[in-house]
Amino acid sequence: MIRGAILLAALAAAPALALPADGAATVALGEVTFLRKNYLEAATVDPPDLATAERMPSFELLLTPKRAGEGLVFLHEDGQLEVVRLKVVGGGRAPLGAEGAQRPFDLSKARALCPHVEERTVEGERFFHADVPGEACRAALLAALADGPYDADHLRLTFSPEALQSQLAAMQARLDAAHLRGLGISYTGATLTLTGKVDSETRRRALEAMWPVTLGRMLIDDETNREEW
Amino acid sequence: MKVGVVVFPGSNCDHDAAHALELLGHEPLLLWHKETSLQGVERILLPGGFSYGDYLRAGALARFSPIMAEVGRFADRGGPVLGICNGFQILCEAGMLPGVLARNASLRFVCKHVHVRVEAGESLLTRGLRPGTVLRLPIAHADGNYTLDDAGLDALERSGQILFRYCDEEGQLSAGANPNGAMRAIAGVRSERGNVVGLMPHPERACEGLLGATDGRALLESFLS
Repeated sequence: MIRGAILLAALAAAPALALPADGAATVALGEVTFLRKNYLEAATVDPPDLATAERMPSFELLLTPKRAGEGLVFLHEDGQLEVVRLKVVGGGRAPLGAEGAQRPFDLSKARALCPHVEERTVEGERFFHADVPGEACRAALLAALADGPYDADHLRLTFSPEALQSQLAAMQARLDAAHLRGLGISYTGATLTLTGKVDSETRRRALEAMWPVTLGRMLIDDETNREEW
Repeated sequence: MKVGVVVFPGSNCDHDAAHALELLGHEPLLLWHKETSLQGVERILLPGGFSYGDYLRAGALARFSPIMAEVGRFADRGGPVLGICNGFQILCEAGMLPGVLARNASLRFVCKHVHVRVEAGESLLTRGLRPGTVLRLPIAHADGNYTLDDAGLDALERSGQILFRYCDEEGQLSAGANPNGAMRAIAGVRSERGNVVGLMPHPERACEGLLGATDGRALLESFLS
């Protein structure tokens, strides 16, 4: 039983700021792929030399690979961050979209450190439930979910307050390391609240910086640039 | 070869198409849209223009012309059908090709030469052309924004039904090279069976040096071979 209040984070349709990625795409060198995005504000590829990302007049994002390898595409849409794992293969035709992108997690370590970890497939849809009582379990799950592409629509993680505070500290460390100043982060329940006066570029970079150390999808309450009452 | 060129009220590229067919050594036969006989033609070409003044939606009224039932039966028997610009719109509206041509993203009529990249060789229009070949062709339309849902687009990609994409001179896709906002930069597609093809650019206007472009010739020669 988890001590203290239980906070339920990260539900199916919630915006993402955390592992696992929202989707995956594989594309071959010499080919391109398109992602449909109606309200895209910005897109970046990490590492930048993996591929170019260009918004098309068709409300699509054109991804043109530059070299073989793996990376992330950060998509900022309507103030939220969505992340797609991008794999560029050397030759031949790649499977379309997320085909072939799903692969099992290695959950052995997480199972040893977390009191409840459950992954199952029901009628072709994957569900992942876990309790996250503390930092050791959080780190184990983070490592498991970071391994490879995974589009987890049915993801439910139940954090203890201690685990959420560990996560907050990890995010803050990433912001400090990237010298991103002016953005305040805190939890209100399981919702991540952003405060401070920052421009949109800094805000986007901050979300990207925090993503790799953040587990599970969560709601973002954006209070940046808002006048105090 | 006798090739039927269907004339709808508002077609304005029918004689251009007939001229190009003659230039390539074939016998064009203009078929008025109220005809119910194809008069033994071996190929059918739906030309560009503004059939029915583009009222309701480009191609939406022309699909109900009497001759279209015959065109449909001809295609069902495996007969080759080519739609250019408004002809492409009509074939989509008739359900003979997937997708629709929506209003250009710019909301403006666009008339210029563009580059398209051959995506699939060995189709009715691209025999003898290698995928990746870049062609320079003219366009002139207000409704060339190829639109289809994601599942449909993925299906087209899988089955090699995308024949042409808008690109730059080097064959690279980019926002600047897409003149109308077409999804996945699609400029032309074929039917699942392959005997019905459509494209927004005008190959019939690019068959002679005098007209400033000759890349359309290979496409029509492929269609007529």
